[in-house]
Amino acid sequence: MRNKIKQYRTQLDLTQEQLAEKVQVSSRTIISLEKGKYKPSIMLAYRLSLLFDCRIEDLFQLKENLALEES
Amino acid sequence: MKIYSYRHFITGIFFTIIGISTIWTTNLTFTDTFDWLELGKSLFFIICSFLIAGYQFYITFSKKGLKEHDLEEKDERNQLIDKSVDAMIGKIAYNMIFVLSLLFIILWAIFKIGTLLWIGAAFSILYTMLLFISFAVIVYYEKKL
Repeated sequence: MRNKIKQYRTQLDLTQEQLAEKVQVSSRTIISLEKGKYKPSIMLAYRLSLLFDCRIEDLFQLKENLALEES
Repeated sequence: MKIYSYRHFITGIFFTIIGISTIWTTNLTFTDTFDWLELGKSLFFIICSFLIAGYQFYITFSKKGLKEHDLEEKDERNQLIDKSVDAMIGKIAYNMIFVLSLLFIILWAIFKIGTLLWIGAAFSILYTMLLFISFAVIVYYEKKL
C-alpha cells in the first residue's frame, strides 16, 4: 500500500524511532509502513494523520491505491 | 533500585528459581551416552531460564526497558504476526492430525496390529473435536465481528 509517511516524517525532521514513539508502535512497524509492506489499522492511520496534520486519504494516497487495487 | 513492574519481577524470580533448581537437580554420573544428553538438556534449560530471568529483571528495574517492552507488546504489527503464527501452527497441527489418523488406520489395515488402530482412532477423535471447535469458533466470530 502506497503512502507518504516518509515524506511527511522528513518534513517534520523526525527519525523513524521518534515517529514510532509518537504514534506508539515499534520502529519496525514504521519501517514496514514506509516500505508499503504493512497496512495499518484505522487507529494508527488516524494517529499518523493527526500527527502530520493531514487527511488520511492524502497520507495513504487513496486514489493511487484504489487504482492499484483495481488494476 | 526502583521496581517498575512487580509482574516482571515475580516472573524473573520464578525463572531464577527454575534455573537454580535445574542446577540443583542435575545429577550426572557419566556412565553412558544418555548422561551427555541429560547434560545438554539441563544446560539448555539453565541457560534459557537465566536469560529469561535476566531480561525480566532488566525490564523490572529499567524504566526505558519497560517502556520498550510494553511498546513491543502492544505494537499492532507484532500482534498481527503473533496471530498469523498461531493460525499457521493451528493449521499445520490440524492437517498433521488428519494425516496421522489416516496413516495409522492404513498401517493397521496392513499389519493388523490393534495398537495402531487405537492410535489412529485417538487421532481421529482429536481431529473430530478440532473440527467441532473450529465450527464453534466460526459461530463465535460471526456473531462478534
